[in-house]
Amino acid sequence: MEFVEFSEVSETTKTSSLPQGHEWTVQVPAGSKLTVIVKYGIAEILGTELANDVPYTFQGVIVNIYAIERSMIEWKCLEELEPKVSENKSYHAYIYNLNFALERLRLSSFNGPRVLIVGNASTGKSSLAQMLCSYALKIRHYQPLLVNLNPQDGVFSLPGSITATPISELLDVESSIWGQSITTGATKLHNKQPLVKNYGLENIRDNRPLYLSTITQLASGVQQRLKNDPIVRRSGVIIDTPKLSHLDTEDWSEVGHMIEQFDINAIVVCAESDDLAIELSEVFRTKIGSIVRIPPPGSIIAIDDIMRRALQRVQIREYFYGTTETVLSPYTMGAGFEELTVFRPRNISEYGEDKKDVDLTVFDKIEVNSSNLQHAIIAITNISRKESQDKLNTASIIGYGLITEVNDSKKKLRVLLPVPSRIPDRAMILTEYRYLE
Amino acid sequence: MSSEDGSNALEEFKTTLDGLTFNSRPIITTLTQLAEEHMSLAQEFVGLIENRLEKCVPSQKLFTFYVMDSICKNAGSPYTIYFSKNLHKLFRKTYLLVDNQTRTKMISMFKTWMVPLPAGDLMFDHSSLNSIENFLIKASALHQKSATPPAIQQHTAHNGPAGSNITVKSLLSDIDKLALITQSKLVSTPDDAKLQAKVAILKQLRQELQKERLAPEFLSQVHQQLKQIFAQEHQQQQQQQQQQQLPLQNNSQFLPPSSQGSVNNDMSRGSLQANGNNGSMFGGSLQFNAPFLNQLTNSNRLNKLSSLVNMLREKELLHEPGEASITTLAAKLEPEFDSSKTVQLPSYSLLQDILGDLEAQRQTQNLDILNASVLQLSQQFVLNDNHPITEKLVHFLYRAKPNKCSICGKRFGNTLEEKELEIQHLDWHFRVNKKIKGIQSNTTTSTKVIQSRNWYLDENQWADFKEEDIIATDIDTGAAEQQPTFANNREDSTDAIYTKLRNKYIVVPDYATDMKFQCPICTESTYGKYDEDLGEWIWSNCVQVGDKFFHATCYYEAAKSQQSNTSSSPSFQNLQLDLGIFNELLQ
Ligand SMILES: [Zn+2]
Ligand SMILES: [Zn+2]
Repeated sequence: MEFVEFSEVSETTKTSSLPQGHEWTVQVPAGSKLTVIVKYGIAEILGTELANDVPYTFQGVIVNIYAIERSMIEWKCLEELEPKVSENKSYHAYIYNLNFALERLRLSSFNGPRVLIVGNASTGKSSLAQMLCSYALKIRHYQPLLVNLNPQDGVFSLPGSITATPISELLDVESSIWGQSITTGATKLHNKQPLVKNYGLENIRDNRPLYLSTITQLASGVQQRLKNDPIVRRSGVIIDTPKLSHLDTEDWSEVGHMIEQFDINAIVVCAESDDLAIELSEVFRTKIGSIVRIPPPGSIIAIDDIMRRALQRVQIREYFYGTTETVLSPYTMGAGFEELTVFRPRNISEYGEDKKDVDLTVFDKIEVNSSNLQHAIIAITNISRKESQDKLNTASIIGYGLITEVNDSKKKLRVLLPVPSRIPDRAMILTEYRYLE
Repeated sequence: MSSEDGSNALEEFKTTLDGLTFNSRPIITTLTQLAEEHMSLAQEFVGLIENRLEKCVPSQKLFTFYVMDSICKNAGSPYTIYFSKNLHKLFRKTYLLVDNQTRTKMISMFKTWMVPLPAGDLMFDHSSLNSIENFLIKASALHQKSATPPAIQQHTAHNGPAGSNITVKSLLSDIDKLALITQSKLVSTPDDAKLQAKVAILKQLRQELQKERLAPEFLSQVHQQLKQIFAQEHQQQQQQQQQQQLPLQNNSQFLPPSSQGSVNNDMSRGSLQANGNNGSMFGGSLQFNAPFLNQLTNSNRLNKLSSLVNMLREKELLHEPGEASITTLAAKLEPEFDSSKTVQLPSYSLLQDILGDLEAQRQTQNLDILNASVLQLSQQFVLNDNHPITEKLVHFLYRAKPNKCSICGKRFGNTLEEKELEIQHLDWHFRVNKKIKGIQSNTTTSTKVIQSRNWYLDENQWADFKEEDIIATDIDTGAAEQQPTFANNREDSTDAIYTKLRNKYIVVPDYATDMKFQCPICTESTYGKYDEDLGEWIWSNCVQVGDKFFHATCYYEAAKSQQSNTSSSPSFQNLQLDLGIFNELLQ
């Protein structure tokens, strides 16, 4: 007999007993903090098993705790939360099947599976990518390469970027960006080392050519790494993508480009019905070995625009300041206007009739002033300020800065940098993201 | 009455109340008398009692309620008015915190409040009492799910529907056999903590079985679990024997697999199926099911009866109590007294862990992913919510590696290699922890380690990067020092130096009334901030040279550029830079 118990221990600490196969889902509003302790049992967050009797804290994110075995969790939050508990065994069984099928592919070849995950909004794409990576770590010491092609999400980096990151150790379930990239000190979990490319605009439709070329750039780094690194190559590549409504679903130009650039051999479609999988298999029949559909989990919390923005703020904050577990100290640097060279990606909405003749992959140099830069997130490239600007198209991103203050009359500004250093002598790219501290 | 009298009475009341750590009639009487004699202090007394109800340990809360009860019944208004205000909240909170025995006593007390006073009215405010009653009705509904009157309990113990002939005696003999096997294993590996725990549990289970009268269904579940463990033990033992015998007696005849059944029969007296589920890869129960364990949880000890109650309810053998009401609640809780006196079984989690680990090892024996051709990346295989092979393989992700890191949850197996990895892993945690918490001392200050994010690698650096640099456990906590920064700037922005510089601070001097200093190099003003650890206001990233304060980073850069005699920016030129301080900064 399984029923969910709910009992109040005191006004703030609550306990929930989760029967096996049940998922506990809650959205923690930005600004409030949820602390969860697994008192007993095996419980995991998106494939990462939680330690018992260790407090985990979450801020401004959605939390999914799945009970592998009957578990008891204790949680507290100053704000009134309404966790949802739902039976979710079947969904997880599908993921396990998928994982072990991938596992077998890893065992039987030196080239691991290269999986593209596609689907509409709120179908569990990112969670699936995270679970597949986490499970891959568990049996053997694999290092699956996690690729995030959704520029509205930040994975080991800020929204605006797309990234590729070998997952060689546990993901950080408390982090809004899945864990910390390399820091100067000690962190509770192992750091990750992402390759970061910048798209910088909020919407893919505003500059599809730039999005495609950014993918090409990321993929070229990935292919090079896979060539050099037999462990990552064998572990395979898991690619998360933007929701379908942001992509061209008539000619499937972006999906086709991703398949080509990353040598995709399997597609996982997150969808309620078979239609999408059928259409994709018709379009990409010749290129793709397997297309598998996974129905979305029942426990999903749809992310609307407001939540997306709140989550992006949390991610930006975490990039500079870290988490409660790993506190980072960013560095504010003053600089004269003349010390910065800033470019801006083009945006198709700004062009009229002559749209077709414009090369949208070109960056325009912009004037350093408050109307352009106030509160802006800027991507710092690895390209020297003095170098020719067409190198920007192949630039890697070494980090992001936040312009906190611009004084037009003194021609001075202040930049928040993640790293304690002077303002790098590098070309910078303005993103569409703003952050007011 | 003078105010001194008042404060004396208050003091006396408080001291006496603090002494109420046991159920003492004299203390309660004294407090009631004080309350009667000093009506003007009613509000203060009520405050003290409420405060104690909030703060004292749960086991003493009831006595404090008794004081309140006594004062209200003897002194009446205004105490009853004051207490009415928070009564519901305090009652509810206390009820949730105390054990069932105390709960019953609280309910008895509550029942007396529902009896009208001689004047015809109730002692406390009606709305307050109503909300307590509603609360108790809800609480009693919860109890109903698990509790059952003692009469029925006895009845079923004799005519249990399970109707099997499993007896405590037969189980005891099973346990003894299993204990024997486990102990003999322990002889060869005396340090095995799992085995030790297993022996201890078997022992405890034995005691428990002797002590308590248990429902037949419960017995049969214990029996099933024992059977499984037994089969597994037997199989392992057999394998070992075979391995040992193999080189010695090539011709000796091995027992056919079916003979394992005879062992089962031997231990289980007929009522069991003979197919121990140790044979085929796909056969048998795949998921360790824990009803037996559920029954052993301390928090839910009455659960072991709940399934029985449900069964009886279905057959309409159970008398259903009428509308849940306060007067029946106490009776419902009573059976719990007896069970709460019995010795506690090992915690649910310990049992779940040990039996789960054993099960996982059993399930994953000889499992080979590569040869399992059913594992296809196909729609047909993936959309299958209970494929037997997956249900076995899942153990690989969890309990097949039984040693779970208590810090991060990562699992390690039992092989030598895995044990070695586990040791390295724990060692890594230890070093990281020390570094996170640690105090780093340098020449002038000792501060907490401050860290920042590093720059990302560029494409070429990343393509050549090896994860080993991050995850190798023998490296000193990650890659701070070896971490490449972007090439051109490597020289002047070595992160370690900057971290060190920013750790420099100056305690804000008393004469700095505006709490800020202006760095002569960058001309920025920095305000003091309060450092919790030091308990002082400080300027961070600050260094004092003579009577001037600089940003340590600015000073460092300026001094460095002057030292290397490169083009120094005009603003630096009129500064007398002390290279001695520059060197000290780097230490
Ligand atoms: Zn660990
Ligand atoms: Zn300065």
